[in-house]
Amino acid sequence: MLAAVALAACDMLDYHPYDVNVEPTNINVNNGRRIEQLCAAADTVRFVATGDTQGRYDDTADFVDFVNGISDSAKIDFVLHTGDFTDYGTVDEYNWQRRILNRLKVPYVGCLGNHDCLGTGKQAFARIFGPSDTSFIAGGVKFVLLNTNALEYDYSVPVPDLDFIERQGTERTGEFSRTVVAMHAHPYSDVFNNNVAKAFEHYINQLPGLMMCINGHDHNLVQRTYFDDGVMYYGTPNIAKRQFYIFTITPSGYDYEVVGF
Amino acid sequence: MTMRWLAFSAAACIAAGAGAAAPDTVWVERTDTVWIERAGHTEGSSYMHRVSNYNRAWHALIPKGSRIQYAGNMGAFSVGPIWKYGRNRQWETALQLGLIPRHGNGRAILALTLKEDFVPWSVTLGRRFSFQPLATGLYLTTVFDSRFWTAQPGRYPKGYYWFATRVRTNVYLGQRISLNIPENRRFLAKTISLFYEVSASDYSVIERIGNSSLKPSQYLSLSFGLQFEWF
Repeated sequence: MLAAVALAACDMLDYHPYDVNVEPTNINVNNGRRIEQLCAAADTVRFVATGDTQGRYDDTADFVDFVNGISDSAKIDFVLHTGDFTDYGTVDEYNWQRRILNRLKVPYVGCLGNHDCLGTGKQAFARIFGPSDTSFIAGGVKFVLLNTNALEYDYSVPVPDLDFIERQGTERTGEFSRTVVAMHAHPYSDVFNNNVAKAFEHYINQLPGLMMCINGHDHNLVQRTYFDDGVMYYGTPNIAKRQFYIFTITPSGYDYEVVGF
Repeated sequence: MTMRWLAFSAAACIAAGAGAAAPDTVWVERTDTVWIERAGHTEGSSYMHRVSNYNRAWHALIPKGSRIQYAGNMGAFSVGPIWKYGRNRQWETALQLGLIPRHGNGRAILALTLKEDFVPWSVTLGRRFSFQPLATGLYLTTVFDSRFWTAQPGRYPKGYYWFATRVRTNVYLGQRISLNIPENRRFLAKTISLFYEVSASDYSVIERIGNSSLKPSQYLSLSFGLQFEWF
């Protein structure tokens, strides 16, 4: 009891909300690897897409409980989070979120959201999740997670990183034939670098068998295209809407449903 | 005689102590204030009144002590002067400079805190000690780092973020135990206090309001420190 109190007290000795005093956990890289192992021989991949869980710990906990309840029977392989784990980019918020998300029975990966960038949020994300541009392959499908929050970089670094996108088409080419692109902010949204929106679309269209894009940021259930190329963008509702997608990718295509909890 | 000379003379008298022999009349008002009267100016004159006010205003700016604090969302350690005022010196203002370690930030960050404390009661514990059952207050912390802003930078659409990342507001509740040093054993301080504080930051209060599942150990912070009251 005393030890528990002492431990809690130690946890409360905070130096600053933006003190990135966290052990590197590299969630995206490690969980990406886990997903690759779990789905190595799979011809069908099923995943949950959610996002914008910032400031909603009760709803996020309910979501985790719900997904854990169905993940076995529905054969969920992983959870994709489209970003905005935090409102203010503080380390507390990151820690509170992942404490809940770590309870998921299936691995999860996440995009960097614009709110996640605030203060030292980018550094916290890098420690906790790893690189903000990353990819993994599940059942012959490459999932490319991109940082599209140009507004948070003042256009001083290339966001989105077109070179990274280009490399995704040339790296590990034998292991995948189709691609899914995930991001927080979609082209023509307020935080996207809309000067390169068309270039972005051009580059992602070069990726082998581009199936769809999944984004967050809008806080609403949205399914639409932003260009004339027919590429669908699936916008995840924020967690307060208590809805999420289940996508099922089969050898012949994909299907999705919206689930309420 | 010019005002400049008078100010210089006042400084010299304070430096030399109230007993220093000077051509002017020197008297001591409370134990820590030195007043000088030039020949021809009497206590009630408006000139002396202004001089007196001038002295009193500057005198109030002299810190009455110092503080070192560990944690509390103002850096790992923060140090700085304190001012005490009020009828029972129950009000305190502190300016604390803290250092946030580098950790995963990329670089260490300086934090500056303006803190207002209210310590309404003091209970005597024997000859040497006293206990302050309540210390409460509010503090604003800012950071010196280009990644933070007070006014939203121009790149954002107007009112995009409703908050400032640079400034955090905190409230706290705490207690103190003080050692009162006898006059003949004083070196620098007349009182040394050990204190602890339980604080909450603006964002953590907001998050707690919307989420009943957050535990106190998550949204509250703990800090402790030492305060030296010089005079």
